[in-house]
Amino acid sequence: VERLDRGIVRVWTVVGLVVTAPLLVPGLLLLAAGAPSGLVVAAFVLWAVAAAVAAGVVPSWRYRHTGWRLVDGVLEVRRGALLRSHSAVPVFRIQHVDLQQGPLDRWAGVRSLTVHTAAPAADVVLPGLRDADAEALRGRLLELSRQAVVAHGAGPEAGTGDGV
Amino acid sequence: VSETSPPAPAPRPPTRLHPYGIVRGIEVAALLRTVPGVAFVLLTMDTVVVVPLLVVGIVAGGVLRVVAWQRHTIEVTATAVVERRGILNRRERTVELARLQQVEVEQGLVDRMLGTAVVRLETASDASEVELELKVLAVEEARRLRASLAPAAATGSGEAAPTGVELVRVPLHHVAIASLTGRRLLVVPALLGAAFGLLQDLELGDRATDVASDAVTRLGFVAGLLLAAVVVVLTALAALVTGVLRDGDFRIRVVGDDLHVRRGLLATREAVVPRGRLQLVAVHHGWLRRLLGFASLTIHSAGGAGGGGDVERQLTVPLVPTARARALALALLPDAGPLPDLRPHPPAALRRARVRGIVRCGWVPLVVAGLGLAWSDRAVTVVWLAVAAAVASSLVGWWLGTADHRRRASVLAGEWLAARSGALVVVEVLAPVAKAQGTVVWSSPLQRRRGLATLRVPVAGHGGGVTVLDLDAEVAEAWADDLLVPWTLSAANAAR
Repeated sequence: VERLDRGIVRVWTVVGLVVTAPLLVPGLLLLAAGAPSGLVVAAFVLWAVAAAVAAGVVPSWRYRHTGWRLVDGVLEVRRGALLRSHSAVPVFRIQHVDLQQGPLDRWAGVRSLTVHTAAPAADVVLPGLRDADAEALRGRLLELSRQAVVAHGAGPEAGTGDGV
Repeated sequence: VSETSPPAPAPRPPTRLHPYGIVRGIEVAALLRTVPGVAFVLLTMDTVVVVPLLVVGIVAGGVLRVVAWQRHTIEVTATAVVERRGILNRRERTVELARLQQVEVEQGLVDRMLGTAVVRLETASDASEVELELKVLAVEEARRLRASLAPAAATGSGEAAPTGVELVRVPLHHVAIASLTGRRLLVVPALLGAAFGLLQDLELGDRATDVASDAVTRLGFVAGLLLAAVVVVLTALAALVTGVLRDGDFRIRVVGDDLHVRRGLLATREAVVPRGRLQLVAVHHGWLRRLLGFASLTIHSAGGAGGGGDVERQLTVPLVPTARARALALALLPDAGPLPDLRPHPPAALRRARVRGIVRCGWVPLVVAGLGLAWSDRAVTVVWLAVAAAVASSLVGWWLGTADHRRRASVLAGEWLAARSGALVVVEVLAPVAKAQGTVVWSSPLQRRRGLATLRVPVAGHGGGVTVLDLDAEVAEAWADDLLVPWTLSAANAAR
């Protein structure tokens, strides 16, 4: 089983900090309003705990529970720590492959790869691949997909052309 | 894959649409939306200016439509339909015949009088809109177009008998039953509730204003009852009439490799769907229809978002006798062998089903508590009401969950994936294994504790796919693997 690039952990850490930032607001408001110091401290502690979990624990947890492999023309992706999902898409079903990179991704040197099929629910996302790996994987998927279409051309779906 | 060359439909020169299209294409709703703005502008002007302006505007609009109609042509080549339109910005759209998912011919009332029809071509693109809509063609032109487009012609059985084999014909009294037991009638309880609310208001109002007059109160009560009865009868009648007009004379024929679905008494719709493009068939056993011994079927083909646009991506057979429902579902799909028996889910799923049922009924005590708060000032009463409602709804939820588990069953065998579920409305989904686009095995912590998982098998289009809830976790993984075996590279190489 292959892992994502460690860079994605940095991205998720930043995302975790950003997401929990609004929790700072009550503390700051209380401070500005001159509330009792105990209350202010409690508000900041609340934020600190949330930020520590979202930015410190969750990213590495997610990282450990995400894995993928490409075996025998089937791309398999495992994701999720609590709600676990295990998706599999045969290369034959690939309609197109997207690579995306946001500013954070660029900073961390990773890309996300999305495999689109004819069914939106079957689409598969690999969130953090190293730049070069992502391009290589895309090339391999498309190449395998071409091979599979040639091979299956005379298969059970003959006559329906696009395999839909 | 083109060894069997199609009996090439003779290429014909580009043709215009029927002149009725000049009028039919006008979108009345869009026009009406501009009325307030235009009226505002015109009202600020002098009559001497307004009248000529209006005349010029209307004439210019009319001329534009005529010119647009004149410049709008359709050409059917051996492999594609080419539409060209636009006055200054010329637009050319090519729809390849090989990509067609569905062809639909619709005739409204006026169309039937004039002998015209609207043709809609549907492909498997992501877009939620119809690929090509032709408003309007002469009906024989439409039929000819459909005949030359129908993928049956493209796959070789070209000169197949135009009549084909009739698979389904829903008699009119069945259509009537369907419209009286359908979802549309769900508004009746709501209307009844509203009527009773009104009645109660009447009663309370009378009491408040005129305590002595008992007769008036009774009169109000009778009037309320009458009103309720009238509302029910009218709604049922409306449902009956619209249902019969829409679905009357429902027929499905098999012509070559296509299904021809026809429905409608006054306005008719005829859709042609290649059987190879059907993704799944669902048999719905609603509780009322089940009591009467009937079920309904929905047929999903690959296509854009359901509900978007005018084409129905989902064809519904309004009513079939329960005994025939499954055989019919199997007959609609391309031959995929016999369907094995469905197997029940593991006992561990029973508790989850009951919990789900209870959670789903969880809104009842909340609503009761809300109503109680609105009606009564005594907190104790409200609490007791809420507790009673919670107990009652939990019992109902427990019972629904048990029923759901008892009916839940699934099978993956041979060329079929089938799953059944539901307590009040039992739905049985049948999908040919060859249609799986991928697999997803889901599990929540609660499921994992009991060794369960959910298998999801999406099929092409936005129709979703098959979701099998609470399978044994190992079975779910094994099925997911088995489903994709035909599409692995090793299988492909073996086939070669």
